[in-house]
Amino acid sequence: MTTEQYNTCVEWYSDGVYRFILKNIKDENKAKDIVQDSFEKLWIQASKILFEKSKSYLFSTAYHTMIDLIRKEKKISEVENKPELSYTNAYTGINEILNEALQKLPDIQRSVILLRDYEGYTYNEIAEITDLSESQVKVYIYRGRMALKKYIGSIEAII
Amino acid sequence: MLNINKLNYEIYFIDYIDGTLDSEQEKELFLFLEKHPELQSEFDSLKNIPLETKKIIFCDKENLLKNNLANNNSESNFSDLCIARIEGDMPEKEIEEFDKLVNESGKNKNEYQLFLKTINKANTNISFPDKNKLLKSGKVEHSKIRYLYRYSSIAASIILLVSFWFLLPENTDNNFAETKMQNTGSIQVKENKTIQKDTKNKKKSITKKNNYKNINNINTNNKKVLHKEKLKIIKPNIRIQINEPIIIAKAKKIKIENTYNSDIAELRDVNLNSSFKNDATTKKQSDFKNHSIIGYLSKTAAKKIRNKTNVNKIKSLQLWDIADTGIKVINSITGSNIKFEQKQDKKGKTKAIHLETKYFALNTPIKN
Repeated sequence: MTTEQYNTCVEWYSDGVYRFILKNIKDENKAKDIVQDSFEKLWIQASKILFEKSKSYLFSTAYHTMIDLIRKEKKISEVENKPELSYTNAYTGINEILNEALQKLPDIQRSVILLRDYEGYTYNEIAEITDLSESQVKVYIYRGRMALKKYIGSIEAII
Repeated sequence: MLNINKLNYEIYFIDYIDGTLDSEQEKELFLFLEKHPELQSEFDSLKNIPLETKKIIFCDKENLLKNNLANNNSESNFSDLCIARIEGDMPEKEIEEFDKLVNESGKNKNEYQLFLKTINKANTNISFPDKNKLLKSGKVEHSKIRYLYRYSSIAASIILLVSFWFLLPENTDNNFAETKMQNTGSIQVKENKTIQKDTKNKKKSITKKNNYKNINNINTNNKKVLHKEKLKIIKPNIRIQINEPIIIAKAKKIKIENTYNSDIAELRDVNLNSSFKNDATTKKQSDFKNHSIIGYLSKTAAKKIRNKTNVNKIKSLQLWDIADTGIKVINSITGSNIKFEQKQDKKGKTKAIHLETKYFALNTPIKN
């Protein structure tokens, strides 16, 4: 990858990576740090990484850095032990409800759904980024969608 | 089949009911029944058992069919279809059918609408604020630090290798080594030999003549003097003098001044062989046991490399010795002019180290 291609990556993908991380951890400073760290790693490895693979590399690096951070802060939660979605806040729009529902999802489900929705990654690409199998990605997306739909449906029923 | 008798008649009965008996066997069976009327009732009871097969049908077959979405209208199946639809996993053939299914009932429509709401749309107003910090202007290249590490490790390896080469003791009887030196053509060896004998608490130093030998003429005897020079007081001394840069490929001339030391030869014997053959080596054995191999190497290196004259005053091998020798050898091999100097104060303590290469210079103060 050339310097020009690297800079193109900055222009094209930094916003996407930032949004993806920010949506997951809800902390602007940490999200910035993760993005900078990911691009620094890309720059170091620039001579070895093809431009075509750079987006996947960036998201994968950012994702794993984020997971490490979450683990450090002991915020990671087991999928099975995740409590039932609850709804107590007052909402003004579907996006707020959806954001609230997303935050209540297990980290892995939230990540795969965001990768799918924000970046339009295929199951296989998400599997590569997250180090999961394609089947696991499908299952997590299915469970995540079901949980989101249940949450949104319940809120709408109340409203 | 064997002829029917009282031991095997049951097989005939069953085969008759199954219809597997041929006509002759059937005749035989009925003759047997005439002879044994007491078995007629048993035969009749078997005959009356109905063996008709019932048609068993799997009732949920329709639910297994995949080509008809309308049949998959259970709640869980519909959810699966909705997710497949929004994820783009549904085949095009089924999409139209699915849309019909959704529009068939309000419940399905609401359900599908809820799934549609689970799709996240990226907020494009959010952008990474420090994008300019990420942009690079230099060329993509390997990190200089990585190069520095790589070359440093290579240099360190060479230094250590060369240092240990000089640390190895020489064998006075090693004709192979001499032959090897002979091959270089014009190497001259300055040989000083000191033998110290300890007899009856009296130390007696025997100093042999200081000889210059032309290696070309060294024979296996190794003691033949070819060119006599001035007599000198023998000191344990080795100095490497390189008159001109060595280019291995061209095999240029090298001058080496060497000092023989019987201690070294004896100690090597101690090192290589665990057994000791005479009293002298037995003494060395005890010395060897009292000192580690590193201590021995330090002592040897200090004697050889640093021109120490008094062995007893030598304490240990300094890192400086290894580095200095390594740099000298690298300079001689590569033809470079790397300077590695040790600045000392009046007391002889090292104050600073100065390293100067073609590309960079380093001056580091040292605290003693």
